[in-house]
Amino acid sequence: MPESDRAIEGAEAFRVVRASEGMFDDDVIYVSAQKSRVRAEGGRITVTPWGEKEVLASFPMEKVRTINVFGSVSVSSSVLTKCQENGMAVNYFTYYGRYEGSFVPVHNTIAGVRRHQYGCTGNRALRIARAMIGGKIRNSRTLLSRKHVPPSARLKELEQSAGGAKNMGALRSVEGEAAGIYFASLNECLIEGWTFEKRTRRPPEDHINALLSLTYSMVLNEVISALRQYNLDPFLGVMHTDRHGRPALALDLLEEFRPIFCDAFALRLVNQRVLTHDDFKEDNHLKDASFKKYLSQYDSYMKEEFRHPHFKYQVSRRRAIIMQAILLRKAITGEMKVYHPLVFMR
Amino acid sequence: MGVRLVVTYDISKDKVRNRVFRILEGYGAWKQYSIFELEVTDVQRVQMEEKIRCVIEPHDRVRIYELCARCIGKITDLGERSPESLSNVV
Repeated sequence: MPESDRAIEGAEAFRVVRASEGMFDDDVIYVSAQKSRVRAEGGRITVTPWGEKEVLASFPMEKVRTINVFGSVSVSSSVLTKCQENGMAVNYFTYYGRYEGSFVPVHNTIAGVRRHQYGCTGNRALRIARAMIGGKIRNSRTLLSRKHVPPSARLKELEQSAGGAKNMGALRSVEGEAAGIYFASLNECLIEGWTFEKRTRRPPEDHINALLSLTYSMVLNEVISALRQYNLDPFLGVMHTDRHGRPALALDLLEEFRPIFCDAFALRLVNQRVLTHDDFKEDNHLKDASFKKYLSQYDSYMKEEFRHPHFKYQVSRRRAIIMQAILLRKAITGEMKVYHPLVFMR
Repeated sequence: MGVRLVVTYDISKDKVRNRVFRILEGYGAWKQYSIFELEVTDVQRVQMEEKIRCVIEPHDRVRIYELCARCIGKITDLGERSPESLSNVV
């Protein structure tokens, strides 16, 4: 698929938002309409198609704090001047949502969020991490039972101990044990002809592991992008330690999505025979044509909507990730007392 | 969250009136209405009032009414209804 077709295919990705979500992000706007121009006119920020006068949308300047633009959208210098005056930030993403860079004015509101984030250590960090790991284990159990594999009772115990973990070390060992049990059961979720001995990385030893690794990094990119959209630093984590070049906060937030989005997607590709062993090369990577098939499947999977278990309305998986970034930001800044992970009870 | 305000003005000079209009639309005033209705936080309200105070002249009048929750529930639209919310995605 040529780049341009992929861009069109991803076109709907960021379009969907409902009025009911207004409570979340009044001050953040998203511009994904291709070939459009963002301008400052009077007290408004307007979006118009290139070379046309008709205004697609206009927003009150004083209320906008962040403008996220995706793909070929031009932001005029008048907007950047206003950004300087009002402390607005502009984040640039590719059409797919991969982060490219930001325009951060000298006077900005990012510092406030970042100060909270950098100060989020000790008990505050532990509280958030517990919720994330508890959510991950709950989602592992849910995935197994959806696949009619009775989850071990130990997983339930571990989910509870995650909630009461005394320190990060204890939490990590709970997480490790739970992952071990979960991956051991995951093999039973696969159709015949596929095996999953154990979870391996760098390099993945078999096709299913390769598929999981690929999916984790695809979703990780979405998580990084979501964190950037809310001006969080993806490299400073609450649980994962920050090592050079490791997006620790994104890895933290990825945890709850691993079983329910990533593993579920890989299982679907295998079990519905979308991908077979023939799709893989000698080195366990996907063949070029198969990778394209994977990408388009992935994109529609992320666009698929479900009823949000907490907010009770339809959202796409992609949107759900962004919503978790918002909730995480609220927990980090103390606007909300606890972090609410995305948890599916069944 | 914030407060709902209704703003009316009586300003003779076009130039000053335009400036006040620019300030109001920056805080979310609905366009093409002869009366402005907007929803702002307390901080935004203070900023907005200060900005307006700076541009108006001695004989101009700007009046701001605050709507309480009970008043908001009792608003009646005749003809086309006012836009209640704005999608933040284009």
